[in-house]
Amino acid sequence: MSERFESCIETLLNGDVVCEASQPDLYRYLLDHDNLNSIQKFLHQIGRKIITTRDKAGFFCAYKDLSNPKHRADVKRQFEAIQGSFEGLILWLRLVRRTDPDSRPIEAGYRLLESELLAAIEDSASLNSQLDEIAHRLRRDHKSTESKSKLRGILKYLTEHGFLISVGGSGAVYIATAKWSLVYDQLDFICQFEGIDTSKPKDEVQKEMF
Amino acid sequence: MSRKDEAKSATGALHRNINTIDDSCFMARGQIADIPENESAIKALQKNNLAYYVDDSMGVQVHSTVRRLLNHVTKRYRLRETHQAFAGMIEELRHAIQNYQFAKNKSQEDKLLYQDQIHEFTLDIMSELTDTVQSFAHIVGNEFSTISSIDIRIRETTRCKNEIAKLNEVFSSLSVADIRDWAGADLMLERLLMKTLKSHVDKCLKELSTTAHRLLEMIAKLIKDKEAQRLNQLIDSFYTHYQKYPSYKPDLSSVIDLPPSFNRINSITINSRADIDSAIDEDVLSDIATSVMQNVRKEIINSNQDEEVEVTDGRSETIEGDIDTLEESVDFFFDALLNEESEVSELTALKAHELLEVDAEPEDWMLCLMEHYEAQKSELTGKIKLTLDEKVFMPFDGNHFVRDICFRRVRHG
Repeated sequence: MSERFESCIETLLNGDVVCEASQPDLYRYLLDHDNLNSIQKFLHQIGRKIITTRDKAGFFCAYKDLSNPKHRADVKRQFEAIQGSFEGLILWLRLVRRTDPDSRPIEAGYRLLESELLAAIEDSASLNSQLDEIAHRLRRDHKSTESKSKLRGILKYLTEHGFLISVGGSGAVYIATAKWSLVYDQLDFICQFEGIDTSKPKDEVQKEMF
Repeated sequence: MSRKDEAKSATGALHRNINTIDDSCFMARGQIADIPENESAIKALQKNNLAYYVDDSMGVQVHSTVRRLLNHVTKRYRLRETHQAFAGMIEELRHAIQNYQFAKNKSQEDKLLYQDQIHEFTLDIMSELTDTVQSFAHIVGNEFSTISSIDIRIRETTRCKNEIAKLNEVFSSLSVADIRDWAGADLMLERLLMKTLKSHVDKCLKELSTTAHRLLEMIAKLIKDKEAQRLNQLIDSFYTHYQKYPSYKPDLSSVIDLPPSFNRINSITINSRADIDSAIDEDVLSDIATSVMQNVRKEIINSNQDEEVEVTDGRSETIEGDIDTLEESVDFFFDALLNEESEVSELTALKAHELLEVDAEPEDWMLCLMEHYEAQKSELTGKIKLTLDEKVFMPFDGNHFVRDICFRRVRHG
């Protein structure tokens, strides 16, 4: 059995999302149909299965059968752990989108430069206040008055939770992982299940000039 | 009217009414409003088969041939599926060539007729192909920028890409072997088909292939844009929802079939132990054991080094400290005994313990006095004489029980 097969199994069973940014070698290995099948076959034998995110950017391990009460309890626990951070993540997505020249949202492979983000935040009072809110929501360094320290705290949180990976070792450049794809898939489902309105907001009509 | 006169009349009608025609073609989908100002233009165009009356609501329509002419000369392109037209044109050419070959040795007149047809069809294919290539290049340049819906733009771009694939398929029938077969030994056909037509088709198809590649990139970008638009909408919807309901927390407790995105396993760490009985791994295990032992040794050395206390030179410093009361009592005891002016020349340990109210057990007190005496023996020998009040503990006569110690000052002189 190949070394990469072993690494794949270990990474997947560890609960990580394998993607181009986080594990390029393993991701390419899983893109091969035969390799994917052999991984799937192995996982099936231990009651697990491999799943891709909707945009095919990431692979992760899931329970094969969710009717098992223990598995269901595990899944429930995981959901409870993430549900509290959704609002902070949404605010972060909006903040980064505002700094993007094309207003593109974060997706797997998106490149973030700490210096650019910080410059944009320091130039804008509204972005600064958004940053405060995010730090508060994610419980990251919200007592600090410095934007830099708050931003670092948030980036650290996102790196620790597998949403970003730091590249180059300096900690100034980050790449988004496919964990965002998973978040979008989850938000999609919540939207449908809870009936949250996702229709395009109507253009606001300017009422008066003065 | 002769053919030439008809042509002159038609071009004249176009020339005289070009403003009305241009406005109708580019601003009113080819419709000419049936109003008095346009009356003469309508009449002239209808007379030359360049416009026709539709009905009361739609009025007069400029003929599509005129619109195509204007589009051609002004380089306005609209995607037209032409692959079937090309297939028809190639088929016509093939048919004309067959007839030409047949008539060549029979009738000179028929031969010339089909020769002209072959020329005409060949050049038609070439000019139509040039137009098609240009129209695709125009589409790629504009990226359907006038269409606002991303979905429609994706559909239109995909249609373009598919049309190019179909054109490629149609022109694949114009292979070198096929054309050579058509031309046979005829020099005129060989020059026309092999050189002029084939080289033009190859050049145009090459250009179309580049265009198709660009279209694929456009489709990929449009799909990405569409996904970005969807995600942005999702983000904004949640943001609005959180603004509306500040204490909102998603609740999926009633979901029966959880989607894959929520079905993530609890992490399992795979641990293993080495098989120490494995003969195959003996060398590796031996190396590991050696290296572990070396590391352990290093750690011990390091930890010993860590325990070393840094010594600082404090000789010139004055340190104040509290004197232990027991030591103080010992000092008092010997000071009193050694004082020449004192009347006391003999003192027992137990008596002193009582007088000095020593805060220690008598046994400890006696030990302290003995330690002091032993430590200062060289100094005190000849000054103090010591007698032990003791008894032997049987059955071992080496065991002595000291009940008291008597210290006596030696008098000199």
